[in-house]
Amino acid sequence: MSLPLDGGGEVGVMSPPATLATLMGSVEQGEEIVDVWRRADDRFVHSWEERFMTQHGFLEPALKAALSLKERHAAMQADSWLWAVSAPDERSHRTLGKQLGVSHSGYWGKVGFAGAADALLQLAGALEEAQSGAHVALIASGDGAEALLFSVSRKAERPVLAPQLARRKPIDSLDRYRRARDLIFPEYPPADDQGISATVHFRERDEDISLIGQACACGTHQFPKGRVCVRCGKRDQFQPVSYAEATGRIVTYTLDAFFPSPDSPVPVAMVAVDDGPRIHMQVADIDAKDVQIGLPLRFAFRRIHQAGRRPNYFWKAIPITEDQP
Amino acid sequence: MSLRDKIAVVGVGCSQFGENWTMDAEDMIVDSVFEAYADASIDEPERQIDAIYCGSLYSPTGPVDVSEALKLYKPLTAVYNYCATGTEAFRAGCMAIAAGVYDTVLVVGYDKPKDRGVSGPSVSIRGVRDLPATPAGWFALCAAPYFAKFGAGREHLARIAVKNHANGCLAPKSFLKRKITVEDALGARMISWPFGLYDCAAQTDGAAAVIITRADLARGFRDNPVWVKAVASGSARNPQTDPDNDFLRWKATENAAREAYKMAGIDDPFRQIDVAQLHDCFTLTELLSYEDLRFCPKGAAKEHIESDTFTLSGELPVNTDGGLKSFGHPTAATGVRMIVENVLQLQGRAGERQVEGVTLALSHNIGGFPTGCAISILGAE
Repeated sequence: MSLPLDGGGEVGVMSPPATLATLMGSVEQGEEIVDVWRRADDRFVHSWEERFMTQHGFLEPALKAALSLKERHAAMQADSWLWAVSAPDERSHRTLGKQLGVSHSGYWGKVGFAGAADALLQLAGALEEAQSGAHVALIASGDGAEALLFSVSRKAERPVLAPQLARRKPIDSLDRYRRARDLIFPEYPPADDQGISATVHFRERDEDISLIGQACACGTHQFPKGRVCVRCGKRDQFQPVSYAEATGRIVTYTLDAFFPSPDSPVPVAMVAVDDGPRIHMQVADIDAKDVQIGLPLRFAFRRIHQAGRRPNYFWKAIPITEDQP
Repeated sequence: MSLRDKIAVVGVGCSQFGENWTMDAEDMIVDSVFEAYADASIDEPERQIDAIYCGSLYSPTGPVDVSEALKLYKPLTAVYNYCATGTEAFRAGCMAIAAGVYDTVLVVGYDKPKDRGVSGPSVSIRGVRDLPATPAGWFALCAAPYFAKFGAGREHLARIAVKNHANGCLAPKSFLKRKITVEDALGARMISWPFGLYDCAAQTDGAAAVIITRADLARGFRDNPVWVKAVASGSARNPQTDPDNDFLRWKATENAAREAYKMAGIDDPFRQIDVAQLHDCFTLTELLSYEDLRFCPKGAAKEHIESDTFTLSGELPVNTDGGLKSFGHPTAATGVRMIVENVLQLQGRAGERQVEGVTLALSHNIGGFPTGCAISILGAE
């Protein structure tokens, strides 16, 4: 299935979704503390001693904010709230849970610590589980803590986090961890050093961002776009077509271990888009041993490399799963 | 216009191939060309050579490398067609002679990738949506469909590597002089499935040179010139965007072979060709070439590998000097190096690796994604 376009590059129109949850109130518990910081040009954040940071940077302000939120909104069945907590590690999650008298649940300790994104990730996880009418309390910390209360108006129609977690691949060695975090120093200069032309990027934005190729008047699809049809040889008889929502299958593949990647080897495949062109692309969210000819795929917009020392995004093929978001 | 029997090779030369840390392009060009001069009994190149056709993929300075190394200032043309560059430079020189523009031409292929500080090919990212592109990854794309359809596997690829390593031990100028076993090949670290380390040609430095002249002038240089029966080039759709590719073949080779055989008057290549130098950048490339060049029917390579058809003592020895596997692949030097080996085989000068009774010899380069192929066919008569 592919979506023909009218030539303007508009991929589709979304109607505004019904409200999922409403913010009922919040508490801020500011704290003057230098617990986590990043200096100009630092690649990683620094933190002070972990036990100090956990106690005074997280547990104390988080508990104060949480208790204050419960007190303010006691009328809203505070004992039945779902808690979405962003904590620096699993142990602090557990400790705060005990202090609040809440059992360990949801995404506590299951997604690692995602930095600035962590609190929103925990909230998304809680909203995914919450039934209509439930309340979700969110705790986030940093120079103190905040607690926010949400009232859930409807159940989320499809899970997003759970299927992602089901497909996760644990990193089982220090070497793999270092690769994943780009902490190795290989023989080859990092791909980051290769510049990407901003003008080329600009010209190719439809292909790169919307996976737009073209269909010739003769019926042949091509990706990337070109001036002359690969089959009939005619010039400029194309309509733009987006393959972003299409499905496809693997024609052939390799598992490339030479390819610089945080997770080697990288499955690379010729993907035949159903009713579309063939696209040479990476396959993601899959174990190398599961890659095979004929495997059905769909497409996902992903970070593809950091050439030019900036994140570059393109599409990868991913397996079609039953619980896909 | 057919090039058949219009041109002769009268001199060949080849530098040492390898990690030539103490040599630069100049050294390798001089070594190979002066060997070719001597081979053609040329002592006054300024008078006896009319033009230079050369090629290099890695040269930062271009064809001036050749004229400055040799101090030979003649019409100077550089040719570029990826890994087929060496054979393409030879083809351009042959066409210039056939056209009557020049009488005698020097052809030089050279490359010096080992000055870049990395052991393999470059991993290039050309744009936002590009894969970091690796040649092993491109050439591996035929493996899964081919293995599934014809029942061949990594062990067949391994036997090609074993054969070429063994042949390379007999070639004085090869890089790798070490026999390996099928187990060595199968157990090596993976590069890009199904290619392990031994399925891939190394990157090396090297240069090779040949001197060609008008057929009627050939015996003025030597008694046993080698005759050009065909030089042909073929191209095909990029397999990465071709909507029809079956990934059981490389179409560029099929296209070039059709033209080369027509030019040389060959209708049964397996019976008529005595030795062949095939582009074994990866073992699978050599396997597919057996079929794409019609040495055997599509799908039959496996049986021929199992029965040693293409070993040095087999019915049609392939890569008699060890190929890219043993010489490494200084890209533009490779095609010319293959022609040097075929000339030595045709003249009975290939030493320990000499095949008996060679009268017709083929060489083959394929490159790009792969998208281009060039073939030469040389004869002793």
